[in-house]
Parts: sequence; structure tokens; C-alpha cells
Amino acid sequence: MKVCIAGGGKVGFYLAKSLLAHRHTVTLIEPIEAQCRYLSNALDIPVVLGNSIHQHTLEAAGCRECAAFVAVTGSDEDNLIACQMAKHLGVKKTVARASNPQNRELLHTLGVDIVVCGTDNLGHILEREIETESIRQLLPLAGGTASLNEILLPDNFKFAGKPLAQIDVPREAILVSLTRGAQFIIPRGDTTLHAGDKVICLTREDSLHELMVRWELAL
Amino acid sequence: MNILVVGCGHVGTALIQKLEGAGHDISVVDKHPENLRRLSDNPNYAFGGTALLGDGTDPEVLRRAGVESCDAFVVTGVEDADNLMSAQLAQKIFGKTTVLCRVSDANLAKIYRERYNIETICPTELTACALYSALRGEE
Repeated sequence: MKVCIAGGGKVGFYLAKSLLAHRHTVTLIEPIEAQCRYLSNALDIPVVLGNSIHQHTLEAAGCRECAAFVAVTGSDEDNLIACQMAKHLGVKKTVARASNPQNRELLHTLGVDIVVCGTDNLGHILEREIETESIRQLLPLAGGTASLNEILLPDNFKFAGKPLAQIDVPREAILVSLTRGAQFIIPRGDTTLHAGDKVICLTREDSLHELMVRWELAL
Repeated sequence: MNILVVGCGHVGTALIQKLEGAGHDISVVDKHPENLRRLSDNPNYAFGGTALLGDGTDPEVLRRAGVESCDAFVVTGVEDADNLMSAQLAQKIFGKTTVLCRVSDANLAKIYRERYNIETICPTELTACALYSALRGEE
């Protein structure tokens, strides 16, 4: 796959490196000349000197033939406009880095396919470190904005013995299955939950946290 | 009219003075305090509107500056990307219909006008046209 990366800072550099290791074709766009020279020497790939919001720069980087465009400059505004311009040139998949967590949704609304927020993800990783006692992520989904998780219900589980219909579950969370010893159960409204049950749960990232709060799990 | 101006550089300040002179109510946002200070530079003019220090690409800042109740939204900053993001917020998030946006790169100005329906004003083009017609006038 041919990928164009806008922004040759640390994120852009290591992203290019890892894409190359996976045998993708990579071009980089970087506005500082000295950094361009460093990047092309270190990575041995074409590096275009310029501002990634400008069409001629994007075209020089071969954007029209790229399957994906990734904007990882330090400016959320530049990343947005660069992705929109890449879309304009026919790139199917655009990815932007958002430094400001509130821009994650915003950039997506304005047409960027995938928005990755470093600050946010770091926050989630830290949160997860704290929550690992009773929770395990099985699968991240939708660019890290949702996930499939396994929750081990603790001895003092707040809703132990109660049917699911009476248990407080956030709207954007679904209990997929539960395992009780060797028994596998697809939960319904009349299914009761017990301490020691392992619950597989599909949630949005914020509703997972909400679920932990409502169920008083390891906080 | 209530007009929200994003960017208080040379262009923004000159525009605000004209608009206030014509009796409009102005609210202005700029992330640099030294730019907002420009408003009090002219001894023959006293700014009568609201000035807010903040990022014009932050919806919360725009909200505090009164984007929801303004009749027109004008972006005058020097960074094309910042300007285009502000203008898109006003148009797509806040549903504003009168949105004007300064864009220095002529090609970007054209693409955002045609593809994103944003009324872009390109100072590069305008200056070139003005110089051209001035030269023609000389002939």
C-alpha cells in the first residue's frame, strides 16, 4: 500500500519506519529543510519539502496515487485541512492526529476518516492500568473509540443475584456473553449476575468508564 | 448586525473599525493578546465591542464570543488552515449562513469555495488584480 505522511516529527518518523518495516511504500512531507534532509537520509524514502495543506506539495508527494494519507503535524488545524485536501485529490482513507481531545469528534465530523488523539489514548491507557484488576481489553474497535472487554465480577459485586433487567447498564454498552465456571450463557433480561462471572462487554470507551462507575468496580 | 470577527491583525483591526463606523456590533476573537491590543492603538478611535482572548478554532471560545447569535462570521487571520477550520466550524457546527474567510493561497481559496461552499476571499488575488488594473490605468 502507498501511504503519504504529513509531518516529519517524531510521530511521523516512527510511523514511516514501522510502515516501511511492514513493506508499505511511504512518502513524507515536512516543512523544515534540515529535518527533510535528516529524514531522507535516515529512512531512504522520498521526502517533500513544503506545507502539506498546499495542493502542489501533496501532488509532489504522490498523493493522487496513495491509498492512505496520514497527517501527524503538531497543528490540528493543519492536519484537518491537509486531510481534506488529500480527499480532494482522491485519497480514499485519511487519518489525522488531534492533539486536543475535543478535536477528535470535530475533525471526524468535518470529514477525516480516522482521528487519533494521543493525549486521549494516553489517558485511556493510564485509566486501563488502574482498572486492570477486574477488566481486560480483548479487542479495540473503531480506532480505539470502542472496545470489547472481559469483566470479572468481584466478590462484593453490587448487583450480585439480580436479574439483568434490574441492573444499571449505560445505553452504549452491551453485555455479549457470560461465563460461569464452564457454563456459557447469552445474557437476557432475566439472567442473574453473580460474583466470579466473567462478562464479555461491548462498549464505547466513555461508557466503559461509566459502567465501571455504576457497578462500583475497582476505582 | 452582530458580527463575529476571528483574527485581530492588521486586516481584522481595519475591518472592525470600518464596521463599527457603519454602526455594527462587533465581537472579536484572537489568540494573541498583542493583537487585541491593536484595537486601542488608534488615538482617534475607541473600540466599543467585545474582545475575547482565545482560539478561533475552539467551539467553546466561539460560543462564548456569541457565535450562536451573530448574523455574520468573518475570519481574517494569517494562517490559512486555522482560518478554514474556523469557517467550517461556523458553517457546519453552528449552522451560520454568512461566513467569510480570508485564504492567502489562491488554489485553496478556489477549492474551498467550490467544494466546501465557503465564501473565501483571497488577498493575493485581490492585490494582483488591484495592481494590474492600476497599471492598466497608467497606460
